[in-house]
Amino acid sequence: MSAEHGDTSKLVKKYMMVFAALIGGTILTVAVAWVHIESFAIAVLIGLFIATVKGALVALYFMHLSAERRLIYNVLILASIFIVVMVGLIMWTEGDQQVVKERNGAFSVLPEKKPAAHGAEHSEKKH
Amino acid sequence: MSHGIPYNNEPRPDTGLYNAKLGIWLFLASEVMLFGALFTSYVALRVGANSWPTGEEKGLNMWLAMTNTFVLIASSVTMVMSWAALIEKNLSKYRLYMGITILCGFIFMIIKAFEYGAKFSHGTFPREDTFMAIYFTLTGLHGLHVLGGMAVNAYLWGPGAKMWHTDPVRFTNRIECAGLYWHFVDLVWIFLFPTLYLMPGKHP
Amino acid sequence: MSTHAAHDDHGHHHEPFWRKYIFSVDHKVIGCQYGITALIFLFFGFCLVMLMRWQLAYPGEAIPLIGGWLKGFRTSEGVMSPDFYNELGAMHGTIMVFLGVVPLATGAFGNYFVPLQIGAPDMAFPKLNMASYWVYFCGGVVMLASFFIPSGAAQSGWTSYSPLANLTNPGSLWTGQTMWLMGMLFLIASSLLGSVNFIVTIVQLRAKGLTWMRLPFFVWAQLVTAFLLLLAFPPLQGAGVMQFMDRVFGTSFFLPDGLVVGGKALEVSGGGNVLLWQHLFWFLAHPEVYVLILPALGIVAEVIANNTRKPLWGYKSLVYSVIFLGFMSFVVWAHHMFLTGMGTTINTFFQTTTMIISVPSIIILTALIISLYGGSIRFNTPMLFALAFLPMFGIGGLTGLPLGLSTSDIYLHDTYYVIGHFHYVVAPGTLFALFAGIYYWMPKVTGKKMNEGLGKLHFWGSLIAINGVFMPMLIQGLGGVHRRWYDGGLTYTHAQDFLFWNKVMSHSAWLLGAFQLVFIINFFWTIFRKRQEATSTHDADNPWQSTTLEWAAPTPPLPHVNFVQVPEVFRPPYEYSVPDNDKDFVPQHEPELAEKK
Repeated sequence: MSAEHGDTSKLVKKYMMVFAALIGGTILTVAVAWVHIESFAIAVLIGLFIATVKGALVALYFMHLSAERRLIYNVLILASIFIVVMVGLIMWTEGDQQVVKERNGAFSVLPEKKPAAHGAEHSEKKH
Repeated sequence: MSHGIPYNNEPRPDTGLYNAKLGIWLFLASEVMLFGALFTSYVALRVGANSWPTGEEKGLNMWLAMTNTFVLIASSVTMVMSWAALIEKNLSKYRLYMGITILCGFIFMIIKAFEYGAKFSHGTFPREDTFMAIYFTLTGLHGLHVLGGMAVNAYLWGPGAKMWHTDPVRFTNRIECAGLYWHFVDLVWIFLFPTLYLMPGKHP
Repeated sequence: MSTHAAHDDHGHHHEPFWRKYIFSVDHKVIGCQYGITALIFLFFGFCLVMLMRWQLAYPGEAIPLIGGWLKGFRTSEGVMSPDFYNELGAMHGTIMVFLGVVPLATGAFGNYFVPLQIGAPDMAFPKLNMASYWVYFCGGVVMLASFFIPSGAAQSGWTSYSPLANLTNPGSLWTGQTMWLMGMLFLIASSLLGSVNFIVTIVQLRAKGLTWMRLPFFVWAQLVTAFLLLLAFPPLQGAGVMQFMDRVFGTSFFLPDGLVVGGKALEVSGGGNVLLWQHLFWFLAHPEVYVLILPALGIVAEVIANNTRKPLWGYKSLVYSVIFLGFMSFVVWAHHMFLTGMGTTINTFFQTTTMIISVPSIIILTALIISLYGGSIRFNTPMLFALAFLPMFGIGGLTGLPLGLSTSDIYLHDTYYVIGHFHYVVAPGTLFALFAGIYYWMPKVTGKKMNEGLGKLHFWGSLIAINGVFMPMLIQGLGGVHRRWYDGGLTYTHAQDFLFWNKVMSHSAWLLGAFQLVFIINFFWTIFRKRQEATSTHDADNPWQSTTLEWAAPTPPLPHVNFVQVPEVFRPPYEYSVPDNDKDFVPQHEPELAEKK
C-alpha cells in the first residue's frame, strides 16, 4: 500500500479520529468497570465488545487492513476460528467436568447416570 | 534487491502484497495463537477456581495501567505517522515520530518496572497464587514483545535509516512492517488491560 | 565440478568458505544442512531405542559391549536404571519428532525442493531461512546437552505431562526437563520462522503460469504443513513457558491443590489445572502428527507419478482433501485425552471429529493407490519405498480407528497398541517416504543416482525388519501390555503370554539398525564418487525423465538463482504418456508438444 503524495493529509485525519475513538473507548471501559453489573456474563461481554471494537479500529486503520485484499483476511479468520475452537472446547471441557464432579462426586469416564433417588435433594448448583 | 527475489518491494498483482507484508501478517497470526493460548489459560484457571480476585484486591494499580494504555495507543498513532512521513518523503518528520514511538515504549516499560518492583518489594511473586502467576506471565511476555519492538524501532531510527538514501521504497516497507508488529503489541494490551485489571472477581 | 562453473551468479563469486557453506543464505545449502543434521539426529534417536530394547528383551541383564562404558552413568553393574529407561524413552520421542523427522521433511526436503518446484530463485526470506537453521541447531545442542546433567535428561515422556514433569528434579535451571523446555522454545521458534518463509514463498514466488491447480502435490503438502506449524505451535510455546515458570519460579499453573509428594504436602499455591497442559500440548501435537505425514504423502505422490508414467489420479481430490485435513487436524486433539475424565459429551465430540478426519486421509491414500492402475511401473528403489508406504500407512491409519473411538480406547489407551499404531505411520510410513525422497532426488543434488543394488538391499531388509518391530506391538497392546513399562511386562501376570514378543521386536530392531548401515554406506559413497559425463541417452539433469520444474534446473542448481533462465509454466504437473508426443512425458515448462516423428 503506497499512498500518493497528497493523500497523507486525509490519512492523518483518519488516524486522529481513530486515536480519539481509542482514548474514548479506554475511558468507557474503565467507566463500565466502575458500574456494578449484576450478571458476570453481561459484564464480560460488554468489556469484550468494547475491546474488540478498539482492536478492530487499530487493525483496520493503523494496520491498513481495510485496504488489504482477501488473503490477509482469510489468514486472520483462520487464526480466529482456531482461537475460538481452543478457548471454546477447553471451556466446554472444564464446564463439563464441573457437572460430572457434582453429579458423581468424582471424576468418572462411565456414562453419567442421573441419580433418580437423589433428584429431589440435589439443588442445581450453578457452575 | 537481494539475489533477485521477485516481489520484494513491489506488490504481486494477484495478492496485492509485497513479500515482507505477507510474512509479518502470518507471524502476527501465530502471535495471536500464542497470546490466545495464554488467555485460554487465564479462562481455564479462573473457571476451575473456587474464588478469583479482582486486580484491585491483588494490589494492581488500575490508574497506572490506564496510563500505560494511553501511552501505547499514542505510540501506535506516532508509529503510523512515522510511516506516513516517509510517504511524504520527509525523513526528519519520520525521525521525530519514530523517536516519540520509542520514547512511549520506554515510558511503558518504566511504568511496568515500577509496578513489578512494587509487587516484589511487598513480597508478591508469581508463585503466590494462579492469578499472580498468569498476571506476571501475560504482562511479562507482552513486555518482552514491547522490548523487542523497541529494539527494532531503535535500529530503524538509527543505523537502519541509512537505507532511506539507497532504497527508499524498501525502507518505507520496512517501517510499515515494523508498524504492523507494533500495532499488534498495542492490540494485545488493549485486551490485557481489562482482563487483568478490570475483570470482576469470583467469590464463593 | 560440472560444466556450469562458467556461469556467473550475479556477483556472488569469491564467497569465503564460511559464507558459502556455514552461514549460507542459499536454500540448497540450508536444505543440505538441515538434511545432514536431521539424519544424524534420526540415527542417534534410533540408537537410544536400540538401547531401550535391550532392557525390554533382557530385563535386568547388563547391557553388552557398551555396558562397561556406561558404568556409573545411570546404570548399576551395567544394568539400565529405570530412570535411565525413562530418559531414553522421553528423549527418543522428542529427538525423532522435533529434531529428526520434521526438520528432514520440511527443513531439508521442503527447503531444497519447494523453491525449485515453483520456479523461484530462492525462498522469500533467505536470511530468515539461515536463522531458522541455526536456531534449530541451538535447540538441538540444548537437548543433547541435557544428557550430561547428573540428575538426567527429560524423563517424563515426550509429552511432559504435569504434574510429573513439573516435579521431576525441580528448582534449578540446569535440570533435564527445564532444558527440554528451553530446547523446545528454540525448536518452536525455528519452525515458526520457517513456516512463515514457506507460505510467503509458495504464495508469492510461483513462476509465471504456475497456477494453484498446476502445483505439484508436494508443494501443496508443504503449504498445508507450514500452516499447521504456524498456527499450532504457539500454544505449546505458551504452555512451555508456563511449565518453565512452574519449575523455576514455583508457580502452580499445572499443579492442583492438595498434592502430596513423598509423604509431604507440596509447598505451592496450588489452584492449577493439570489438564490445561494436556489441552495445550495436544493442541499442537495433534496437528504435529499431520506435519509428520503430509510431506511424506507429497514425496510419495511425486515418486508414484514419475514411476507409473501417468498423471496422478484425482489431483483435485488430493488437493481439497489435504486442505480439509489440515483444517480438521485442529479440532481433534482431545482424542489423546479420552481417559482423563472429561465427560462423555466432550468425548463424543472429539470422537466424531476424529472419525471425520479419517475421510480425507482415506481419499488421499485411495487416490495414490488408484494412480498405480494402468501405469507402466518402474520398480526402482525410490518407487519400492513409495509402494511400501501405501500399505504401511494403511495399517497405521486403520489401527488408529479403535483408538479414535473413545469406548475401545478405554482398553487400548497407553498400551503398546498405541505405539504400534503411530510407529506404523511414522516409521514404515513417513521414514520410508523420506528414504524414497532421498533416493529420488539425490541425482538432482549431486548428479549421481544412488546404487540400485544397495538400495534394494536396504529396502527389503528394512521392510521386513521394521514389520518385525512394530507388528508385535499391536499384538502386545491388544493383550493389555502397557507402554513405558521398564521391564516390558515381566512382573505383570496378564503380560506373561506376550513376553517372548519382546525378544522378537528387539532382534528386529537391531537388524533394522544393521540395514541402515547399508544406506549410510550407499549415501556417502554416492556423494563422494565421480560424476558420469552426460551422454545423448543419459540426461544428467533429468535422469528420471520427470515433468516437474526442479529437473529443469542444472545439476546441482545454480547458487542463489537456481535456473539458467526463469522458467514459465504451461501445463499441469504430471503430463506423462501424452498422446502424439515424441517422449512419454512433457515437462511443465515446455510450451509446445514435440510431434512424434
